[in-house]
Amino acid sequence: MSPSRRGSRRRFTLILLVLASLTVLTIDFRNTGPVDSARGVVAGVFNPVRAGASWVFRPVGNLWNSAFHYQKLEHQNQKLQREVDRLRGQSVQNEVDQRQLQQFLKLARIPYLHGLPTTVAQVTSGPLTNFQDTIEIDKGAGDGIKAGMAVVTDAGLVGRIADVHGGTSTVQLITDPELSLFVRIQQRGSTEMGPLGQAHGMGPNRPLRVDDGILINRRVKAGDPVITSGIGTSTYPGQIPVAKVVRVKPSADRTQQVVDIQPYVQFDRLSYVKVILWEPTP
Amino acid sequence: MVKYARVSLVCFIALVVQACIAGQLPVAGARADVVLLAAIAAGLAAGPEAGAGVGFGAGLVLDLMASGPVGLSSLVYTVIGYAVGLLNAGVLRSSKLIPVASAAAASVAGVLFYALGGELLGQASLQKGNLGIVMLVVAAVNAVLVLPATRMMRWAFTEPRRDYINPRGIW
Repeated sequence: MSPSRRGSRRRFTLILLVLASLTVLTIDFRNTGPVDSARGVVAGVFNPVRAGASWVFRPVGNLWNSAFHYQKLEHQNQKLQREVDRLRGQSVQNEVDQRQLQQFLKLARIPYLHGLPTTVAQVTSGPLTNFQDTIEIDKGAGDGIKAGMAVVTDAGLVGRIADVHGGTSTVQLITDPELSLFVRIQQRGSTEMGPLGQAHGMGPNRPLRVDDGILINRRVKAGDPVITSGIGTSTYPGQIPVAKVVRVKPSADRTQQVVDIQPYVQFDRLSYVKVILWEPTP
Repeated sequence: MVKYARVSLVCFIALVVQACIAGQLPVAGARADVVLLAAIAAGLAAGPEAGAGVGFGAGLVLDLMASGPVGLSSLVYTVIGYAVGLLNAGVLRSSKLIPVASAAAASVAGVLFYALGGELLGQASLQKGNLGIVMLVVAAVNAVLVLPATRMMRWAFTEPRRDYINPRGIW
């Protein structure tokens, strides 16, 4: 084949593949059927392999994470020890607060998490690429899981179910900038209903930001707990711990407050999560 | 036929390694990109068409496995695989440093184009990771692994001789 013909064939191949990619992008953007079906097929082929490999490589991954986070772990250990000491001293006070909270919730008729059905799932893998804020779990449609359901650990909110396949699901983490949720910022030690705002992620290993809804005159300070709002159209049940306030500053127009909140959940060390089998009432 | 089976096998291995190993062992929050490496290695080993083909196929399957926009990885990896193959075809390969440098540069370009493409599609990709660290990690890992990966791709793209498979010629 002459060099010029070879060159034009190469260009033709490139143009063909680029057009094919753009076509797939368009189909996916319009959220039509074939892409979802293809995702299901690929998940069916790769998920068993991923689950098996995850089981094999989990100890290696733990060792790897420990090696890269040794100083962080040491610091965290000291911090936890101080926290345990503080909590011991506060246990009596907490019992009183708990009773007050139960009474408050009863009065406010807020749906409480304990009454909701949950299913425990194992995290089979973390994000595949650098631009994902998702994890995979080993429970799917067969276990009653549906897209949009909240995923939690004992520490608090992890995220929401983004995609459901036969026996696995993809969880979108709350750190994802594309995910936003209504939260309520409670005052520590107060039974008063805190201000309501909209939080969104700012990427992995970064706090979430509440930049809409918290008026400048509301009292918010570092350490205040943040919970899901549970308001009418919210996709999450109310009262799920989300994060604690780490930074407060006024917005550019000085009418609202911009609040950075640190999630309670440590996303890089998730092994098991709970999916709340709850859907918002339409 | 054997060539296509071998190429599919190598792409499958790259996807499994990405899903099960590279994706699970982050360095400073960034993950290696073995599928991008496969496209680069194919371009280096067998030319622009091979680079584009592997980039498209493996990128598309990666997109279907992940939760991002389907077609973006395939688009970026197609162009990167093609560009690496084209540039490499015009270079006299007297040094092993050339493929290593090509892999590092192509990796940086691949990560950058993916992030910009994601941003254009409303994925907030530029916020999802520290782009500088991601580019550094992907470039470093791909530069280290490009020589064995290219060797693997060269094996995959070489059609075995018939007399080697069946020396007696009886089918």
